[in-house]
Amino acid sequence: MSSKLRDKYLLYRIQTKRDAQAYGELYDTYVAGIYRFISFKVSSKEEAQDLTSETFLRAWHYLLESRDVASFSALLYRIARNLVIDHYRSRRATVSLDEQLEIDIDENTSPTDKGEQIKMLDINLEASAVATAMKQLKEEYRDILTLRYIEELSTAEIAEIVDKTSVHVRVLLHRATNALKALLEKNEI
Amino acid sequence: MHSKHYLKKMKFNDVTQSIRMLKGTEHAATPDTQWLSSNRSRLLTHIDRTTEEMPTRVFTLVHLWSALSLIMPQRTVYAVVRPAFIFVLCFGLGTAGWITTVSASLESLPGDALYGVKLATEHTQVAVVEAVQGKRASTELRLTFVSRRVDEVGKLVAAGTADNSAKQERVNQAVENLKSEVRGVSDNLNEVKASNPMDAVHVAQAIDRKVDVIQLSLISTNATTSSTEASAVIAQLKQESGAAATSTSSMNGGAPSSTPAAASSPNSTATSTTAATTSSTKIIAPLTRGVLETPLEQPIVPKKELIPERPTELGPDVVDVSAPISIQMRD
Repeated sequence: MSSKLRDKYLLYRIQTKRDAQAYGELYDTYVAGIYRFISFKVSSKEEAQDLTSETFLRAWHYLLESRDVASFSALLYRIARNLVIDHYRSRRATVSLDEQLEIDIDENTSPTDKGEQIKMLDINLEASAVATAMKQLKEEYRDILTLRYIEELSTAEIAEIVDKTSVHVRVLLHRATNALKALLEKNEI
Repeated sequence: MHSKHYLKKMKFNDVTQSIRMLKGTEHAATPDTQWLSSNRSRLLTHIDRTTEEMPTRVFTLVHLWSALSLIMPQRTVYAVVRPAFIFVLCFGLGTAGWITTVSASLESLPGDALYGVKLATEHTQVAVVEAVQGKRASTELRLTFVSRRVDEVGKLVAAGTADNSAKQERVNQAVENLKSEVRGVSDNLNEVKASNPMDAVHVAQAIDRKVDVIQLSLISTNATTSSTEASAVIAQLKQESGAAATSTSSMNGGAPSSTPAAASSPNSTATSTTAATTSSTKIIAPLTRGVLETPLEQPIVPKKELIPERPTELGPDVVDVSAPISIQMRD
């Protein structure tokens, strides 16, 4: 059974029979993606976990109240995105970039392990640079880049999440990519 | 210091690849497995505690649309299937309402609210029968409607009402409808004669069979002088049908179909003022017994001159095989 058909069937069971087990199956499918999406936007793991739990709880209540759910994944990402916005409105969380960049290399490790550690350090530094640059982008650009390249959603699904047309999303994607590239080049200097 | 060095080494040709690289790092981390399972059970427990039990299952249309959404796009279900379903439902209700109205209008009389519906239904019937079965069948149907018009006249005349002027007006309207219906039959007959003479014979015979009954029915209604014209129109129709049958039969060389003039003069009886308390159908039966039993067509009897008689004397060329043969031997 294709994933979309399976999701529709589970949604049907949830909306007609209030089947909690069916909702558990949907949770298993989408929880990792939602957690990753939220963790990219918040500073701590605990906040990401709390917001992820809240996302699924709110999605459950939405399913019971509404009949028209075209895409459950789009619904989840939409709720997660709104929760993060509300989270930053209620609290003023700050991100310590210096903490993220602190990497210790153990002097007692073997040369091969040290090579691996340096390689990982390289990757982490590069990732940190990209992450830093993405956090400097405006919220809309950041969300679209995250949903497209990290969550690997289609432009149609992203359009449903951000409430825009597919054409508009493609244009925003192009602009966001260019903006990130410009920032990365600027930061390199 | 390290950070600047590695940033310089970094390639920015593929920005998208750089973004994908974030997946799995601490910036876009995967959730802890233990947290995943504990959160799942916490979530389902909360749902079980807070969600009310589903009431006794009642199938509603919402369930139907939800089920259909499994096999076709949801937009199609709500934008196409549901409107089509509503249209079919409304059409079905409208049709059922129309059928009920038509049924209720069958007993209506001129002046009633549903009489228009009755006439409209009859016109539709005639049109459909004519299209499907032809003029002959529609003419017979029209004759039935002529009988109905006569019945309506009878019912209106027999109806007791204090307002005589209103009653007379309704009777006049009924008679006008009758005349119009008879003219329609006459027009049909003329059209059939022009297009298919053979069918005209059958149509004329059908008219002959029924027009006498109709005449008697009209007589029995004891309508006032306004029905005189109606009787005249019916009599004219009878003449036309007789003429049509005669001319067509003579063209084909067959025996003409004769119609006994069993109906009495319309002028004298239409103005009769004797009270009639029984319905027209009860009066028709004894009156028409003699008429209907009389064959409308005389059997075709071959004329005697057409059958040659056996000659009493055989001619020179005829050999009488019944007589014994005498053989004379030659010497």
